[in-house]
Amino acid sequence: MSSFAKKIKLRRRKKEPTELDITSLLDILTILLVFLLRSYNATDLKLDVAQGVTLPTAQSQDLGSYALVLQVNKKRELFFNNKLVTQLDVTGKGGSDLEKLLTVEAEHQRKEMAARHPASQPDSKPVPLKINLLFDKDLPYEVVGNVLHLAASSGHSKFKFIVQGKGQ
Amino acid sequence: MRALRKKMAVPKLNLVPIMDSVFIFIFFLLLSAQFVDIHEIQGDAPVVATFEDSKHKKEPLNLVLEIANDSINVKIGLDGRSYKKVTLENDHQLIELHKILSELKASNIDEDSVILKPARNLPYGKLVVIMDSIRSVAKEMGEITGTNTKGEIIKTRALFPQIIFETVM
Repeated sequence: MSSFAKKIKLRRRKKEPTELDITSLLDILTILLVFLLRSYNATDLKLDVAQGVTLPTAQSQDLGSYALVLQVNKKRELFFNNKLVTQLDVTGKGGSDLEKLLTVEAEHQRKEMAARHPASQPDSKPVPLKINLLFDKDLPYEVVGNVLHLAASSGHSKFKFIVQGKGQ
Repeated sequence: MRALRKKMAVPKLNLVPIMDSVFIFIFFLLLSAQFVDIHEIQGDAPVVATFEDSKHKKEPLNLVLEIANDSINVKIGLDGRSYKKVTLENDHQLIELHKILSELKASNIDEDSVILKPARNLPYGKLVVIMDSIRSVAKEMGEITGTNTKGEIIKTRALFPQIIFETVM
């Protein structure tokens, strides 16, 4: 073996793979994991709170579930599934567009339910539909009541008032 | 002896697979994390119910709360007679309301529903506070004990969780 080849062999032997100390990184990951587990939400409800909606706080611990989402902000702007539909007047009226949307949605949901449970009788009493409601905490009840009326008249009579936990 | 000790070196644990899975877990948790603590309070629109008129049956409680900006009028019975009135100057008065409702619950342990009649100018935030306080008994108050229509002793922490809005303007 030539001296050059010997030198290369020696150099290769000396260059052992260096071990990265990732202990601190793993520590951080573990702490992150704990915090993420604490903030984990098991519900299927994903909410994007509209601009200008300050949710009231409550001690309720009931978790939300997936349903239609109606939001009304401080300026009485009404959002249907995160889309601005209309602006209600001071008394909370002027939601005719919303009424149409809710009626269409209710029909759609009932058709879906009928397809899922074909055994149920068509003449039987309609099942009340759920609706998630987010209102700004400063809105007067007059506005809230009119929105509830619109929702109930289209068959969405199971109201779910979304609130912020006291811990926030 | 020294040679033996050298041979018995502590084997290194291979943590790579577990750390891989933890890393993937973190990714999924990050996607599903909700950083705003959101909960719900359930309510219902009024429905028509039939009440069987019978001499043997107890009159339904028919609890109604007339909520004004500064007071709550607690009404009971089919004739809607006023039971008590609570002024709402501070949170202390809500504790008083809570006590009144606890008394009513103890004597009508089967009843779950309350009808709300809020004033038009009542802020929604205030209404939520009231709704929140009438659903269950405060932790420090313990359980409510009462006898149901079958004569059984019932212990419960729920007050009137079924909230119905007389709403519908």
